[in-house]
Amino acid sequence: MQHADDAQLMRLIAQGERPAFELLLERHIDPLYNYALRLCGSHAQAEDLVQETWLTVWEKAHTYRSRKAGVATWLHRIVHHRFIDLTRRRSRRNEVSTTQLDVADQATMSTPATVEPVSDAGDEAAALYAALDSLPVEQRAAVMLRHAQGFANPQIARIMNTSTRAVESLLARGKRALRASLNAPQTHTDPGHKSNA
Amino acid sequence: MHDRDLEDLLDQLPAHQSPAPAHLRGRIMAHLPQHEEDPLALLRHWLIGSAWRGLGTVAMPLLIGFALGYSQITSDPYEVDGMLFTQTSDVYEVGEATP
Repeated sequence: MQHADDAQLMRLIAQGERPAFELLLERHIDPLYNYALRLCGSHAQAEDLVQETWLTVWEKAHTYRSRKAGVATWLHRIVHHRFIDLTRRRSRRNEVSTTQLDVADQATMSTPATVEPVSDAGDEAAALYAALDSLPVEQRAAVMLRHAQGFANPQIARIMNTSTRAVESLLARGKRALRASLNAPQTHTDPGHKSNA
Repeated sequence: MHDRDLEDLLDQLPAHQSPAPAHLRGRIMAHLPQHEEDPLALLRHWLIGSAWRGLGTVAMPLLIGFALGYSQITSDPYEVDGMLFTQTSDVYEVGEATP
């Protein structure tokens, strides 16, 4: 089973094979967790999001179609949309009207920089993460998917359920904002000292 | 910051990612429910399987039979007014009886 590719593992998972699930989990949990962490802004929420994602994988493995998307794309798509679901549920609880992912959503979902990137990240990387966390969630997601997770624009479009042109636009705007943020006088706190994670 | 500098910085993002917490794997596996056998799903699978098997045992031999019969009909020469024809080519082949 160790040599089975992801699509073969998905077929086995659909038949209820726990070892196949465990193997797929081992292969993909780190990138998924990092993506979730950057979306949520807190370790606790990222853990919940990743757990929900994997439970969805277990329950919906039979709906996976390898012709439509690679397994990594499919997994990130679940994380992305679960995150939007969670954020909307939270927003509704706070009596904020959110009918679609619009400006209001983006403002709500622009989480503050509460997560340190990694313990040994340099100053530049720390500044980059702080700038990333200040981006609207869709721009942040596009930049992370492209540069941290290594997806191509059409795959990102599939994950975010949008067009490739929209992804290109999100990336361009995100990078412009990042550049402006990094060129501005540095006011971010030392990311090695989290405020509340 | 120049475009190139930002791209270089962004390209370093994968190297700066931290692994998922070790306890998360155990937590996920512990919450994994058993796959339940849905009787309707089983029935659906059985029906689809039967349909395919029926197609294989009945329709395919018929299809092959028709194909063979059709090729036999179209390749047999036939005679009209003492002329011999076949339908396998655009140009009629003319037999001995043809002027």
